[in-house]
Amino acid sequence: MKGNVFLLLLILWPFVSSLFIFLSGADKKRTERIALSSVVEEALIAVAAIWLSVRADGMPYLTVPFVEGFGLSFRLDGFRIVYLCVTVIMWFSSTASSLQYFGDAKNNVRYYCLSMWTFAATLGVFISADLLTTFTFFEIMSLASYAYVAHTEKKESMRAAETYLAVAVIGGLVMLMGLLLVNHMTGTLDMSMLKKACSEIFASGDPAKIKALYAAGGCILFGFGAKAGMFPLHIWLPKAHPVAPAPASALLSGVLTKCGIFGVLILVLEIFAENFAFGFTVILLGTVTMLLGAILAVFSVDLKRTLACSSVSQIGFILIGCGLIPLLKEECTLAMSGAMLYMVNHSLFKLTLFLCAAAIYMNCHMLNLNDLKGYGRDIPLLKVMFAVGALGISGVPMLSGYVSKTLIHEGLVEYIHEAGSLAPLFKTIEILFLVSGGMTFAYMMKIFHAIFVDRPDKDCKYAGKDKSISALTYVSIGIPAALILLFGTAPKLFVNGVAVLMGSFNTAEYEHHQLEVLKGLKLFSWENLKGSLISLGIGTVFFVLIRLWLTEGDRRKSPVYLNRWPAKLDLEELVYRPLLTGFFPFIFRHLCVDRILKGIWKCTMAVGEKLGMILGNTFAGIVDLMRVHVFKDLEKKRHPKLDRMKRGYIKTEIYYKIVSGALSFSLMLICIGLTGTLIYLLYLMFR
Amino acid sequence: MSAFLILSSILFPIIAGVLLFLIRPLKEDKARNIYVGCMLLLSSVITLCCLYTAGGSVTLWSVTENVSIGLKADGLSKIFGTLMSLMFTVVGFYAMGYMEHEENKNRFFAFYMMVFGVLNGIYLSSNLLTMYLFYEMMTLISLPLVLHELTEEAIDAGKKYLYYSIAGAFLSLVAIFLIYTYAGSYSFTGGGIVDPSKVAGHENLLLAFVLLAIIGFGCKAGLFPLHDWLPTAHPVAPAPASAVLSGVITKSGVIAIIRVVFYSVGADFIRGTWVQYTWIILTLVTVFLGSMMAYLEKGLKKRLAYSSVSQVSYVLFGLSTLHPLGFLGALLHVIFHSIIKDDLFLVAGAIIHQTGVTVVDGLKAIGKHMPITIWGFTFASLALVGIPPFTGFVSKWFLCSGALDANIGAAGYIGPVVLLVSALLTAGYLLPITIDGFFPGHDFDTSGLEKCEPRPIMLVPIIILSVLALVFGMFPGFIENGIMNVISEIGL
Repeated sequence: MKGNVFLLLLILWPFVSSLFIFLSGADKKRTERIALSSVVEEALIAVAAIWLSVRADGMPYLTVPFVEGFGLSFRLDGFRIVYLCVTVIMWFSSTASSLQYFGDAKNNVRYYCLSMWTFAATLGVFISADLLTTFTFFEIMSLASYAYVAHTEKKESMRAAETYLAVAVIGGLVMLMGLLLVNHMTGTLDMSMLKKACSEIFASGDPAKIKALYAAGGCILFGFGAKAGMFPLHIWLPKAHPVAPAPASALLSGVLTKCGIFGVLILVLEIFAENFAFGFTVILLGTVTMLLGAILAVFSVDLKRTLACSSVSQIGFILIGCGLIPLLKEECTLAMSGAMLYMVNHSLFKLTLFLCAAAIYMNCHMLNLNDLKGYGRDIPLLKVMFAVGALGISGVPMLSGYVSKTLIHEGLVEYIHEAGSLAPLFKTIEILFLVSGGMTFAYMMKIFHAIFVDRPDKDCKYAGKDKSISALTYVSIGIPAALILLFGTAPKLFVNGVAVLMGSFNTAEYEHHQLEVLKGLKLFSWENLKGSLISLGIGTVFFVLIRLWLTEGDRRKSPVYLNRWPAKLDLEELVYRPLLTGFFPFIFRHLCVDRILKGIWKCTMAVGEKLGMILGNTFAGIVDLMRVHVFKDLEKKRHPKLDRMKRGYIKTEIYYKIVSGALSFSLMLICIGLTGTLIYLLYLMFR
Repeated sequence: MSAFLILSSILFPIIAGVLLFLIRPLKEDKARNIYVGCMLLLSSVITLCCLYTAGGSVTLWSVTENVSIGLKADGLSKIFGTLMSLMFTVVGFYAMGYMEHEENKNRFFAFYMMVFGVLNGIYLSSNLLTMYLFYEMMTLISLPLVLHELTEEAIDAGKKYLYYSIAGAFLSLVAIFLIYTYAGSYSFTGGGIVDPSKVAGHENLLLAFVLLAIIGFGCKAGLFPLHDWLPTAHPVAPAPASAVLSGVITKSGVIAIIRVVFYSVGADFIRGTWVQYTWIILTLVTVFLGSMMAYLEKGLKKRLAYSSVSQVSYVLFGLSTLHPLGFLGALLHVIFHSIIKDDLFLVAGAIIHQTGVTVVDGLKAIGKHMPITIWGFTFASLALVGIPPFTGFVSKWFLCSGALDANIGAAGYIGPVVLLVSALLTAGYLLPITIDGFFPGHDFDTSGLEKCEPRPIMLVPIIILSVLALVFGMFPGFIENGIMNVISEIGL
């Protein structure tokens, strides 16, 4: 083992602390204290690890030999440092807010234990330096986070958890197939070597190899995309986020989906660097995801479901940024920084918004907008924080969302000029991009308006309930909200600091001219502001439309929100579930193997039963004959045992059927064996 | 000395087993448990000594110049011997707890130890004839384990086991004759003993009978079309017996196939022929069939039995690629599957022993009753699905890489896909048990909840195996080295 030992400690510490949490047992206060303190300790370890790796003589890597036979390897540089920090912040905020959120709920030992495991595994994914290490931690993360979704054990959460697990397991296995293929084609899974190996394969022009590499890429994209929430595998997000405890939803949406994006970044930067077809596919999938998520979010009247659908949509934006990277080749600086900054931003937004949702839900236990109408009118601090998150995610200037959205938009505009015959298509994508941005604004305003502006009904359900929010919860929401404000008001820091740092992904680093591009960026130029303003304008129109079409009653002051989305239109219920739980087993049970097996069974039964009858009768007959004629036993009564022996083969009870089947089947096989022996003997004779 | 060690590693457990019948004081529970525990440990130590220190070989009886009954310890025996010693000891201790309320305990333990001895004979055989001898003997001696309960079901299952095993062995017999014709000897040599000049012109004859031998010996390993005895025999046997049947005795079929293909006929002889492809297809059919049947099955032990059908064919698939990586994956999976499946059966036994539930649907909230046991089950399940860093992942990785790297055309791609689909089904039939066990639903009444964890003597083996399922997955290096020796021995 050599390198930065703190990286190993970073992975192991949460596992150790989960043990302490487990041992803390029923003492709720102690459990919480240990959970929160171990996140803080983890943060200290992270600081130490970063310090060790960025020093002049630093060691940004670590290899742990022997584990799994391949050894694990980690790396901590650029992008990874940023995501390490983001992850630690997210976990701190989430854990801190969960103290008040859970209140007196049971089962929080299980929650905190598995949360720690997920923490370790997520960090493992982000600091992994080869795909096998990534995969290992990715799987641990997928399975450990199951406890988030299933936590409440209610019917709908168990169902959502089932979906989540199915997507995670299927995604993991498909990804494994992809990794196997990549390993087979290139002989390495080390991220820093993949780029060279893969470009060699593309350069070799061997169609079979290139096809296999595309298949591998498709499989890996499937696996990571499933976690990221990419269409058509986004199904788990709108189901899982609403039922999970809100602090956990923040993590699911803020960090775990980013593990998927991390994988997509590896694909577009290393395996399919400068490959048009792959980037184009990612862009198309991203566009669909972006639009679909936004539409679902506009229709939703459930606070957390809206946020979940919003996550789907935002992932679509990020995927477009990722897809542009291989398309733009050397010119990809803007798109790449845009995608990476968007990741960070989205983590922070969703943390803020979901924790606000947590602060609301923990007191009133309601999520429907109609029930929550006007809930936050008298909680000004929460109102401000929610507004920061909501406006940030909509891309309003002076908040950090504007920066990243503008960068991706710039990248998209840049490519339209180079797209040639595909220009109209990319122009359409740009328009959809702006429209989706507008829809983001619209649905965020819808929620904000409903909770913080609308007047409550006279008989509102939350009346009389406690609305207190503890200081710790405010702090946990305040941290990401402050970061959003900071990055938005000082975009130079954000771009030249964070983006440049993130630009060193594996071996790739920003080259000189790329840095110039970033430094020369005029974020608040009219060109850039225009895109944002158009988007916000569209958003306002949408917002008015929502108020007109998706509400009824007193539309101005206290509307009733309607869910006009047809409940039956659900990809999972319509296609996936029937296919997986009904169709395939049905096919198997009734068509193929079972029928054939039964056919073989019946034939051998028929043949063997006859054989058995004849044999049984013969033996019984011989014995009878001997009894009568040799031993002169003239009593006609047959021996009962012999009778049973004869009847054994025609008894119809199920077990006898099994045995006679087995006997006849094996008799047939013995006959084959004997025939073989005979053939062999004949062959010896006539050789 | 080495001859003595080899002989005693076979005879010692057998004699110890026979003595259980004869010595009257051993009818007492306590005395028997101490006796069985000591004897199992001693036999394991003897076996390990024989494998790791002495090596060597012994000829017991020369029938003719080229035909003899002999024993030899080589690389392959090392792997299987270590595995079997471990399994028999761990499961044996568990059985002491499990069998406490059963009758005829002496008979059970006697045959249990005798099976251990005879199994040692299978992998220590130095030639085909000896192996065949021990192979048939094992069928007969392990039969009482299936019959143990002596219910109508058990007797029928026992008969079925017997018929299938004998029929399978019969199918393989011709190949053994033929190999002698073409090689002039029965003894195992890495890389095969068949003389190509003698076979010239009769390749297809030999190939056909090699395939029959694979199918025949595959019976013990649950290979389609002779897989059907497993799901009948396992559920009726006592849990430790099912664990041994599924974890270890199925592997004797694997040993036999390895000995025929890699030590007698030679991998090169069947590489690229129709036999190899048929073999691959059979294994893949079994892998899928077993998983699917397990997925549709409701009885816990029967589900695990179907799962064995599928998993042992993973091993055979790895062998059928005839590629070093595939072989490595196959032998790793032999070891890992033994550990995992024994663990699963022990947990199933613990559940039956403590609660009497035998169907999967009755296991709601079982995790609240016996948390440690179900954690063990969870570890084993994750390992069987192949979630890193558990054991199953490592073997599956090598199996799939082997298939991709071996030059076997489309099968190289279809194989891994089938394996992964089967892994998905594995997740589908194992994980819900854990989930229902730990997440019974928020309205589940937990007021009458009682901890009913089994006694330490049953719990500790489960914990050991569960931990091994994790640790071997994290550090498989030393096992890989052992298997690499075998691979160089057979010159793949």
